[in-house]
Amino acid sequence: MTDPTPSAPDLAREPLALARLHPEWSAAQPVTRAQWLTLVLLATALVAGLRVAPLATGRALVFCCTAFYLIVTLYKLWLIRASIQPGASRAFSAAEIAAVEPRDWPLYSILVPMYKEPETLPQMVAGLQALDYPADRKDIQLLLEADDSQTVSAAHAMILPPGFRITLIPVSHPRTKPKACNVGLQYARGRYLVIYDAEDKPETDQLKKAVLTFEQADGRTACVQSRLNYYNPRQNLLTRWFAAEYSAWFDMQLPGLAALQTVIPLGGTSNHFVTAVLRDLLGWDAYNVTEDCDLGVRLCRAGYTTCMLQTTTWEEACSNLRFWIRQRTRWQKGYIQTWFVHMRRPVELARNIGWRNFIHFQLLVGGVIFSALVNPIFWTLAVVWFAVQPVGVAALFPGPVFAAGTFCLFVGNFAFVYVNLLGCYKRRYDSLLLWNLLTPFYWMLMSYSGWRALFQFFRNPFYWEKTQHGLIQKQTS
Amino acid sequence: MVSFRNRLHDAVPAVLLACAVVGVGWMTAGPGGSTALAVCREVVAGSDQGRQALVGSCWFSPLVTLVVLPFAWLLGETPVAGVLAAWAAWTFAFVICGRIVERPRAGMALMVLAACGITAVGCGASPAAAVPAALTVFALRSAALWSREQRLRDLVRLGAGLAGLILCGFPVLGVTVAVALAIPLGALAGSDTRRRIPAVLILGWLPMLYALSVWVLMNRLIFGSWLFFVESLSVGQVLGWNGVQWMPDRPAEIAATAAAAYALVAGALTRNARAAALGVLALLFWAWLAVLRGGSAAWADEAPRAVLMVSGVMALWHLRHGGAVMRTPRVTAGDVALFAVVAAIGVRGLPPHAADPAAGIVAQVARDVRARSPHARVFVCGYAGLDLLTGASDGCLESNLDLYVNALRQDYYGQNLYLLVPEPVGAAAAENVHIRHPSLYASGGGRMLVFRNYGAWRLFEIVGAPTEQQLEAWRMGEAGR
Repeated sequence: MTDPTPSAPDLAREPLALARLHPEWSAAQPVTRAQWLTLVLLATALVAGLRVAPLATGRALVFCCTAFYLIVTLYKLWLIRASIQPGASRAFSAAEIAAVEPRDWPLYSILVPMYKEPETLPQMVAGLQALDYPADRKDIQLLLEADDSQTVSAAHAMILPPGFRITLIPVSHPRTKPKACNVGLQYARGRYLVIYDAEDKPETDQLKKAVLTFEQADGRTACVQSRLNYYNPRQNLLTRWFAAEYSAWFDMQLPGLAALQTVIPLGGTSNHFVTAVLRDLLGWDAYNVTEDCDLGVRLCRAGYTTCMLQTTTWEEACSNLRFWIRQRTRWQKGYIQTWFVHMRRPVELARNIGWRNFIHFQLLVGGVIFSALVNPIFWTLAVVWFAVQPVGVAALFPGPVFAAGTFCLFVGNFAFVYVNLLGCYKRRYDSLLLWNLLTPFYWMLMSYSGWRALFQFFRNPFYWEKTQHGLIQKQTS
Repeated sequence: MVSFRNRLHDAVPAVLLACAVVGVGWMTAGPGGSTALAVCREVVAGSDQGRQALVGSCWFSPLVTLVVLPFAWLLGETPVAGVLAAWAAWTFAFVICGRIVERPRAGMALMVLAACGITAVGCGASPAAAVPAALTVFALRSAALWSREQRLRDLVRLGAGLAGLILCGFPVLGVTVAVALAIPLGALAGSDTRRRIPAVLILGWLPMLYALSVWVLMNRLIFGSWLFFVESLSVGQVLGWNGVQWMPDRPAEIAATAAAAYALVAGALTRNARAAALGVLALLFWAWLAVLRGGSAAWADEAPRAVLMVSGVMALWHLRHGGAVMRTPRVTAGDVALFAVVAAIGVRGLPPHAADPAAGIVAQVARDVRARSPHARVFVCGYAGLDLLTGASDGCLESNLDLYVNALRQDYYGQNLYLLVPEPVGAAAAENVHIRHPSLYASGGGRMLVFRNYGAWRLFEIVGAPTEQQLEAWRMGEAGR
């Protein structure tokens, strides 16, 4: 991936520039003709195999899936090991920040996309004002959809502090957050840029830490990812699981990826960018519903790296099961989109990012969705086997495959639960530990939304199932 | 990250020492791990007996079998497979020993000390001793670091070590419990962890409890009983109490116990907490060994003996080198020389390795039953039976770990069936056949006739004729017709 912008387009006028100039990097076309052909051929081969030699085909499938489980289990353990090495994520103490003061801090752009959430405005403005960064060096844009009259009028009614401005996003298809961000990117004035969701509460010194990280990093570092976590982890069982998952992912796995300088599927918010690099890459893919994950891969393809920063942005964990499933469906659909986009030319991808990163990409992006889809099948097989021990199931697992499968079942699954517990412990969520012994039920929900995502990917790929925020405020009030 | 060069620095002496330990062990006490190899044979063959033997007794560690399994799979059922498994475990143990102290020379000296101790008790070639000992070294190092710094990674390692130890079975249960106590005690030493004891306990003990739960679940799935593997702990049948046998019976054990006691006292006096704590743990291991021997289970003391040796050495080492400044190399050399002498005395005192009479018994039994009927079938009971059948090629003998005589009668209706039962002495007393039929060996069972004795084995003929009740029911049926 070289020289994406011969002449930089105006992203405000044309937020879908990526799809026009480089359709091969955009999810505008979810599945290419060649990919369709491959899928059809694979499905045909599978059906033919099951018809002609059902046992051999079944064994081959089980072997592939078991090998995948084994590799993913060992891979996750390896990531955790990499994460606990010193220097896996950048850390700055208050004293280190104080030591560089006084100084001129660079102008920092903050994008806050909002849609139909006027109630979060006061909290959001207060949170951003509280950021320990010179007010005149903050360039904050509230990205509001032009037809979202409620939020627009609520924003206009507020007396916004200096440094805040409202950017209206013209109504057009697709109605996604990345499209709004692209418009904001065009108007951004800062050397660095960060995205926050409306309900986010970043640690107050986050911007300064990000600046120091960029300044101390090599020229290849184009993105700094903060840790995300939740301020309502104890609200109900779902938020307990969710908080543990985030603690494990952001605190115990992403730092490992950063330390290995590999492809990183970015988190939805609190990722800080070098604005010029982001413009060079034509911003976010407006058609991708997990534009952050896609951007992480594109950064890697362009030769840039991402650092993890030891600072937390506190978000609201979705506490309603219906909304949680909608949110997770969108995430998983986005992962599917990202995988299909970058696997259009797998050899080229491997050449761009190297074979090592190619494997990381497969395990991180493809692996997440694949395991969500395949898990229910293997759980069912395990339950059937334990209940009645049918000969058919036993025949699918010849000796070594059975051994590997047993290892994954008893060791792998425990390791994943245990990692969540470790994440809770590190975050001092001690009261969540016992609840998270029930994590396998959470995986079932993830599998449900995974299948939902797969169907939605083929039927309605650009539909943005918006995360419902403010549930905790409603519950409290 | 530890550099490759440092890893090599740890690994090379560890590998060489493990070779020496295994070599001396093989020469003096013979190759160990025969039972584990026999279980592996069945597991590789995919038989029901293999699955049953893997998890069916708390006296025979599933973990040891799993460690031996890859070697047995590659090399077949040869003693070399068990010895290689022991070598791998000792290498791991010595690498950990080398990392206990940061200075390479001191680490190497500790490795040598540990190797001398293990050699002295004659269990160098036994994977059943090597695996628990290696795990204990790993757990003790993690426990020492956890007590000092309360880092999460040490807690996780300690938890993993405990999970491994619990899978080493009843012979090291006391060791496991003692090491498990290091988690709350270590937590109490830190101001932050002191306030988070429940969370620490969940993280530290969960792997151990989970491993135990899986073991229990496997018993339910394979045997239909949640606690099949601990049925042999019934007091009276297996464990007869003779009072605690405090006195170690080998010079090296006395040396290790004395070293632990010295580390405890001197550590307490010099405020060397790690040495004192390790001394306490080593003494607890010694107490467990004494309990085990007192409970008529001296035959199972191989693993705790090895554990006592390595822990005693580690305690002494922390006493000498736990402080900021290491003592002079002369002292180190003195330690090594002292233990080398003790090891040499220990090796000289070991009983000679006895020849295995198993092959002769199998051939004789096969001949005798074939003389009665060409369709005879002999069920050889228990883990001792698996051992006995090692190398046996005669198809009329097969192992049995879960004896239901009536089921055998039904499954092999019309054949001449026999049962070969080991004398309930030592390890064989813990076989399930003696738990389920306590008087079988001495008095026989219902419709089982003593056929002949083969050394400590007794062959019973299973009578296939119908019982009186069955005949009565048949007569009634005929009359009704």
